[in-house]
Amino acid sequence: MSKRKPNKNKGPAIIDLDLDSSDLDSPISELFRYEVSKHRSCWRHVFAYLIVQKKKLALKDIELIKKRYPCLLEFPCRFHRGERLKRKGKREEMKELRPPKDAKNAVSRKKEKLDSQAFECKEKLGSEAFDRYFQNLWKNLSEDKRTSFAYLDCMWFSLYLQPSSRDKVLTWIKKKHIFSKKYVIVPIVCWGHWNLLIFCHFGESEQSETHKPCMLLLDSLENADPRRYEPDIRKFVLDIYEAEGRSETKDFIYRIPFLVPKVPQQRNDVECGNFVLYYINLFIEGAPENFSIEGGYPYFMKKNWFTPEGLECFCQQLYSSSE
Amino acid sequence: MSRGRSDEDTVKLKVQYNKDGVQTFFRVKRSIKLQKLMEAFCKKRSLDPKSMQFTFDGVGLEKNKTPEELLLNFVQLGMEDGDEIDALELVDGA
Repeated sequence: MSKRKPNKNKGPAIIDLDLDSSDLDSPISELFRYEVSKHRSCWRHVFAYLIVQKKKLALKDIELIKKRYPCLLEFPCRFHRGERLKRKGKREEMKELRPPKDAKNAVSRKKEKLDSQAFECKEKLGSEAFDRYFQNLWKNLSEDKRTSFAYLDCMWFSLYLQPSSRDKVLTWIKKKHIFSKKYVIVPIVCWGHWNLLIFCHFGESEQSETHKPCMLLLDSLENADPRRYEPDIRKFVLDIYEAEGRSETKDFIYRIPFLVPKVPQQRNDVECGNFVLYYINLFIEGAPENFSIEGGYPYFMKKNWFTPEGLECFCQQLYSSSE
Repeated sequence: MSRGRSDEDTVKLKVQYNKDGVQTFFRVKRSIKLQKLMEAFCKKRSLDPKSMQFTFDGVGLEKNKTPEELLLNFVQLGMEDGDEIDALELVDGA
């Protein structure tokens, strides 16, 4: 059981790695020495490293590593053992046939593919597209909603985090008069992930019985710990209060409740932008007159708030009307 | 003579790249599409126009508008000499 026999038909050449280090002299290692320098960022390099470290790998781990560090050059790594041996003699020839030019083509092909899919449902949502969809959503709101809600542009929070544009963002926010609004929608795109921050009753004082200020963070990726945003958000809020010249103390601002309700979660790694758009839509629709933590929270913001079908339907509608 | 004319027909704008804070100055006709300006900026700074977003006062600029049109449609967006456009790198999230 110490040695796993390579599966001749199905397994890619790489399962040979489950061998002892003495096997470093085998043809597979030759293959590695020859190419591994070209594969600095992919699984081949990881494997070469592990071999040198005399690590043993289970088939499962191998698959995992291959998935995590995909190969951009797509060269012999895809060959099955049998094929590879057959081609062994041709290796020198192939070396010439595969100059970096080919690798470049492979990369640009991949890029082209990514570009062309950029606006499809199943791709990550870029800030420009998000903005377009959001504007469309906003435009269709009733006059009523538009006076009690405000929104901050989706890029502003990430720009705020860059010291060079911090002051600029704060002056933009000033123009939104957020302290006279009931709710402020703040879509955030940060570290490659979308989530939604909502300020509630920011214009109200702490003494107010019914409208106490609070913040909500809706995140479709609970496992990634949404609370990690809290320090930055607190700083952001403090700066907004200060830029506005409000009299609230720092202590009060840091005590504004920061709530993370449990909301429906994304099922793949590209959907979070759509989730945020849908959260916004439904929140604006159902937001209570007075948001109260004691009476009512979390309101409709529950695990079963909406169904995947509902989301799908909403996105299709939004996409088609934003063309 | 030419100065009087240019004051009327053109507007001096600066574009700031958010990554390094460097400003690039442009003098453009008020009737030129902003896309031209964006392209010129990207060319000068060797950036990919597809990966950039331009905002004015924090609001996304539409490519096919001109400084003049912005003035007509949105009073608050009227572009004047010395106005600053921000060139931001697009971000995405999942």
